[in-house]
Amino acid sequence: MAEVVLGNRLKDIRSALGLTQAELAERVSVSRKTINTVENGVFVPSTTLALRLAAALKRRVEDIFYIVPSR
Amino acid sequence: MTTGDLGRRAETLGRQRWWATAALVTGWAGWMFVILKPVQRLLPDVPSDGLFFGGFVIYGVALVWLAAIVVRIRRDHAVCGILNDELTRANARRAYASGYFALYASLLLFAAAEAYDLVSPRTVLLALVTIGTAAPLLANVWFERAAAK
Repeated sequence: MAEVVLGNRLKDIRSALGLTQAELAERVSVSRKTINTVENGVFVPSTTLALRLAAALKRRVEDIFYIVPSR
Repeated sequence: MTTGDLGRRAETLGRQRWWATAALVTGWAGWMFVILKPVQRLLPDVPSDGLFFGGFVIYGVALVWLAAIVVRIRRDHAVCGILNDELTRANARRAYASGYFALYASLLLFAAAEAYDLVSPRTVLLALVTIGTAAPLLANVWFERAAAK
């Protein structure tokens, strides 16, 4: 089975709202490095964190995260 | 507390915790290293008493420093939550796994060396305790620092 890659628009959405990584991190009670690694695709967040991020950014989870189509 | 202050405070305490851990491991490794008989035989000019005392002092100071940081983190629930988020827990799990493999590889290496009478069982025991403690701690520091970049 092909590996599923999770993409995200977290950085774009966060920047559009004028939030820093630190401010978003504080809103969802995680460290800045967690936001940093999620934005860079290094760390795949849990469903709970994805929902908390969506709530903090007032978006749907699907607006932030998507599955990268395999080639 | 304004927005961002909590995060900065958590980052500062987290960074201090890394450095205290690194100092603790350095002190301990130095302390363990110089009491090894093969080291004393191979490096007779090394002032082993001074190194032993120095390593012990570094270890002791780092231990007190680390304990003080942990107490400060535990008292602040918000900071504690930030510093114990899911990435931190994932990094800790990876660090334990790295430590396990480092310990296993060292065990094989020292077992082979001991079979050829290159090291004594006491030396092997001390080295394994040091590696088993230092490897996961340093791996955790490494993963945390890499994530913060």
